[in-house]
Amino acid sequence: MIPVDDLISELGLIRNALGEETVEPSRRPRRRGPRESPAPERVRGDPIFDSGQWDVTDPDLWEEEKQRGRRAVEGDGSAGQSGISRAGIEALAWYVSFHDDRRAWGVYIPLSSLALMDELYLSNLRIGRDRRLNLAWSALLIHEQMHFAVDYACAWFELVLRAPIRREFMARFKGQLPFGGLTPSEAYLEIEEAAANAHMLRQLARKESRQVMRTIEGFIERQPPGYKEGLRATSDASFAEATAETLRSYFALWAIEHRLDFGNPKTDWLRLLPLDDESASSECPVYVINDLDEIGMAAGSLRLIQCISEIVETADFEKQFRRQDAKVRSDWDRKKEEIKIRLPSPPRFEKLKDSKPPTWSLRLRAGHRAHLRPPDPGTTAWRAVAIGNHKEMGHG
Amino acid sequence: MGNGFPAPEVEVGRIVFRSWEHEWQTGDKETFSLASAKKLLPSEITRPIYEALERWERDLLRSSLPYPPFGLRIRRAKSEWLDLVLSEYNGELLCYGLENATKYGLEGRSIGELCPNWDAALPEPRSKQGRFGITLHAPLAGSNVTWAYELEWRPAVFPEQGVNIDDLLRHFSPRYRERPIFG
Repeated sequence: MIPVDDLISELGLIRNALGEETVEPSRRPRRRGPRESPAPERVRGDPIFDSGQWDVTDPDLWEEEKQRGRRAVEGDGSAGQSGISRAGIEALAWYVSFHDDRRAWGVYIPLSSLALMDELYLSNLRIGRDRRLNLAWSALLIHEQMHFAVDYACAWFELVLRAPIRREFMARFKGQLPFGGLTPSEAYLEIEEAAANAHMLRQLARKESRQVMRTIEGFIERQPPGYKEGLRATSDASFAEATAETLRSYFALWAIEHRLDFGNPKTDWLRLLPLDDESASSECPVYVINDLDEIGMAAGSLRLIQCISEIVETADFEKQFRRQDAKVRSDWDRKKEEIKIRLPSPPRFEKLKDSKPPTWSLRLRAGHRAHLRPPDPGTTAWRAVAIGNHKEMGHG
Repeated sequence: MGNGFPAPEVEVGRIVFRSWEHEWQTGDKETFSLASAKKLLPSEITRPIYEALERWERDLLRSSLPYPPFGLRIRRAKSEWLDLVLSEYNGELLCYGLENATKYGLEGRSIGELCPNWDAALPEPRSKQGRFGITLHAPLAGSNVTWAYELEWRPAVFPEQGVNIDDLLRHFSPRYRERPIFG
């Protein structure tokens, strides 16, 4: 896959292919007042969620935001009046195109969206909240990755045709009408939203249970036109058709301009989208925005854990550590360095069920574990509190 | 900077499906696709007509592309290029003869020729009150198919013969030139 930075450099040579949006990309479009938006933080890899200190500090605001969130996601008429300019999934997370912002393009997911999506649409699932938050994250991210894939495919054609395909297309949605007589009948490309939700369903179905999938389908069913049609675009054929129609929508004028046969039904448009390419997905920056205070929650209510850069070993831990085999001690020393960069996926690093205080287990060699506790409020270091084999640590 | 091509002319329009069954069921004469049309008669009766209509619709879709966010489609204006390209399909896709139902075996044909036992399948009574005081009549087997069902490319922008593509591309056109402020 060609790095997006290289694409951007090439697109810069095509007149009108790149622009500079004035909208702050990390600002959710619905927030109150001119307050400064929180700085987004880049997320790499699969994050782990911890809601051990879930704390609603302003119940009235929390209720108000839930109602507002529901109206935005489901796109009811009152949403516009409350200043919410995006509907469906885009009310929770959004993709900023590299065509519009070379510096801050990528997927943006506020923590508040995870809390709201969990509360509004996932809370009936019989799985723990951390797991539900992870599900919310995956659902939003996969949907937005489809928009990145379409953006990437557009760029590819722009380079071939030397044409500003995406920005011409988006200009139509921004009210720049070529003729006075034309009236927009959709506020966003509905078929693209259907394809993005179908992509989300197809990806989640690979690893989630039937019960989880029914819940996600219920979430999609309540979304506005386009989004909810994702439910009918999950088969291979219908997904391919939704994708093809999305790309035809972007390319139509340029197909005519360049005498290209884009209507050919035998063309496999899906191949143009980097959807199953992990290196491509990792090319798209993902940012999280810690805005929990804006929905009436304490700032540490929901933590996204990407790495553990600071660990303090307690006296008990050190005592147990000295009793361990040399290979286990060396493995701990190595793991401590690894988790400074990236955490292993569950179950290699997972929260112990019903543990008070919240405790996480990190798997070491030969059935050994280290138990870690997250930083206390106002501190930054995790604490290593115990180390031992599976049985000693109470896992057996 | 131009790309060396002359600006092509395009047609901007929509596909419209007129069906007596849809009007009978909804009061609306037209809808935008076969899939969105309400049906009244059993599909085993109407199948020969709908198979032809599906080919007709597929060709209309094949020869045009979506033009969002206006709910419209665009296609190259009647001209050299599509005829040339589509001749590659051995006449399978007569793009600009599409409006002519002859190709699909519907023009000049009676419903009964295509659909045996038609009259027996019609609702009783065979007429009813439609919108605006209009009386709707179920078509008998002797009626022309195109009186009861028709697909149409309907221009949405005039002149319907063609709009210069640069009017749609505006400043994104490769032929676009900034107008000098003076002179």
